[in-house]
Amino acid sequence: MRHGFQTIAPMDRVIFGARTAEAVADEAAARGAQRIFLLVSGTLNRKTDEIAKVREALSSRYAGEFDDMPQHMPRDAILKAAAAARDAKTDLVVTIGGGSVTDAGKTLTVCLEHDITTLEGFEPFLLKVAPDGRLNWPDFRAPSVRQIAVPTTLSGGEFHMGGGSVDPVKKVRETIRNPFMVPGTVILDPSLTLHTPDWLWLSTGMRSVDHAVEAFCSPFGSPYVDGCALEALRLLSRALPRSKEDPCDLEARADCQTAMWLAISGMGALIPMGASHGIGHVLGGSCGVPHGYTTCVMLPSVLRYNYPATAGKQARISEAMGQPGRATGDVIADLIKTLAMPSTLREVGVGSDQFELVARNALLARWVHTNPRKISRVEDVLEILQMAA
Amino acid sequence: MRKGTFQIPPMERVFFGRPFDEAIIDEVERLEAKRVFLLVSNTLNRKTDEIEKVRQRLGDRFAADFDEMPPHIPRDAVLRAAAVAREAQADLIVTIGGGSVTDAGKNVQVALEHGIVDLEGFEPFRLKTDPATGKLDAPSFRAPSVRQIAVPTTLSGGEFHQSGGSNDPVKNLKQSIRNPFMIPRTVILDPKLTLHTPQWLWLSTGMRSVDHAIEAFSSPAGNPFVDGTSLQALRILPNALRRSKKDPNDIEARSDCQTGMWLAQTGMWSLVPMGGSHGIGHVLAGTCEVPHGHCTCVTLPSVLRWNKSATAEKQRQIAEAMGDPEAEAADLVAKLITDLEMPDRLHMVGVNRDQFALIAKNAMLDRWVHANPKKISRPEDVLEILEMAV
Repeated sequence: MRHGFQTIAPMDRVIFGARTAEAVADEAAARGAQRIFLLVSGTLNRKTDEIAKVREALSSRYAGEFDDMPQHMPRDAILKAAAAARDAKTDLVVTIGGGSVTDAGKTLTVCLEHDITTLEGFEPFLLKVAPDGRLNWPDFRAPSVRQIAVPTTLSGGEFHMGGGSVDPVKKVRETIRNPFMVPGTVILDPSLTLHTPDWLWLSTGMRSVDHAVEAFCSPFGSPYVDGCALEALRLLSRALPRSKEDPCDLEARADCQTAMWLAISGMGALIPMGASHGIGHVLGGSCGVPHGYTTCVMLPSVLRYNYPATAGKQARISEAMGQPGRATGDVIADLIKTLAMPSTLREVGVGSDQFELVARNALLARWVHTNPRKISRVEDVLEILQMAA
Repeated sequence: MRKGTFQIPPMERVFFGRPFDEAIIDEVERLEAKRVFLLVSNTLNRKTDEIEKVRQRLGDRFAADFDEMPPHIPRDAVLRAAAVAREAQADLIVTIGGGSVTDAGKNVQVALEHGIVDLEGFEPFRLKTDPATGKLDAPSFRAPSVRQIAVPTTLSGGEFHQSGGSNDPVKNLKQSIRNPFMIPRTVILDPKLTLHTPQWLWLSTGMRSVDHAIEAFSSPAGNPFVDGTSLQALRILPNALRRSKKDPNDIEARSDCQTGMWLAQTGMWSLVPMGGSHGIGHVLAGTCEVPHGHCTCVTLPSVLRWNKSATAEKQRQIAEAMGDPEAEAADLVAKLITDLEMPDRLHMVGVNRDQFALIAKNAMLDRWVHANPKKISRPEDVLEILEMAV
């Protein structure tokens, strides 16, 4: 019989169908926050009035902001943001933006709590992965300054208690995790996402598909999460094409957000993902490929590679996505094509000359080791990369 | 566009498929509990060795136990259990049993925290509903510091809820007390332990889970996350319950029933109000002593039919999830009840027309009657539903 336990992250609530400025001000008031720091998307701050509306709603409780967080959260940028938040004596961090802004916020709360001011300062907090896949999670005092996250993409990191960041010297992405790094509140505002570029919205939507698929296929999953994941796939397979067809369809965007929320249940409950996420992290950290694109190029090949280990589960995924009987790798590849996303490594600028480096670094990624079909050697990763070349 | 808030209660973990005694010890160690109070099913304690296994494993961390909680949780029994826990200086409550034992544990937490020693002592804490307007008065009070771990043996799902019902033995009325921290910190689902549960109780509380999923999905105050978990519960439960009926020793079927129940509880978990089936059911339980699971069996099909004009599209999705998009949701539910050989008429559970007026009057005091998707505003509306279930 299947056995295990599921962790429930200490998030307080999710507000859906919200208007950002109003919901942020209400939440800040409910939490009694007096000095609110905004960590926000540069585009939203400089090219729209969305952040100005938030500043106005917060009025005297607005304490400072940072809007210069590059993709993949280089730690030098996080240190700069943390310095600004520290100077502002902040008591609540509000992130408004994509996955990089959200994850940077989580790491920033650790910088504040433990007074991290240098790159070396991160070292004691980082998850260590031995080459055989064993994990060492450092245990440390929870951040006391919490975060409210307003995501503008579908990458779902706001439901996770781990935050990734990239060492600007080693160029490797690593993770810091603490239960209280999960945002206290998530605010889902479909109309705010109208500013998100289509490629980013749709490719992170594929990332949500990846969260659902890899949580469902994980040998370390939970039956509750299986249910959430299958529902997510039912919704995503319909809502993403609707959103592609009419980018102004707010109901389609709301459905995408609901599906993302269901899909991330696995990550939120600390269920380990598989090789699509694992190799994807390396493509992000070592080759600068955007997160959503890493799924588009890896997921169909990983599903095909995993088929001998997950045939039964793949049949249920195809069924949930409305195409019972078809190979799941093909169903997902078709969805990627419908959304006009890149589907090969070459299209995202990763040539075969980089495969060796990607494969070697992949064996340092923890989720490569929790793939449902065992990946133990550089050659196994190369086999998957060749299928996606 | 749909707007709202999904509230997440302070539950920390759910164990599934693990032997319950092992999981209890894991949690006692994680929480560093030193004086564990066991509030347990009488049958499990006296007719099986399951509770003895736990006492043995706890060793000197076992502080006391109480195994005399009647169905529907009369408050005098809650007071007796609380007195034992207080005397034993308990720092953790572990409940092992059905819905009454679980809910009693939640009430004991409040009695310990606020020094409640008599029936009147509960009054300031209970939820009050205005019978005319349906407006709910939910008192705010200091959270219990002695928390609970719940090991359920039925499918009634109360362990996923932050409110605990208990019955006033004088007024003969079931009332609820609610606080976020009344929710168990940990829930342990062990399908093997449920082999001791009487078949009628297992299957009827399984129907209760179906009711949770349907009323959460149908609620106008619901949310899209709960829609997903509810529909998935309805995909799993009918098949798992029928398998469990066919072969009571099928552990995988029992495990699937628990998964369906867990998904079905997401609505209650996040404080989505239920509807008329739960609301009228509370009165049948409190006023007429009908077991909870049987309440659903007699009320749910009629409530679905009565609600049809307000929830036609949702009922179509329910029917689809239950495996037949062409059928009426109410008929599919009624068929499931028949297949499980549960009573499906009020007279079969001993409720007759002469009690209808009292039931209808008391129903207007229940908060979930007022949260029904089709407005129930007068006792006559309740009578109409009761007549359909005669």
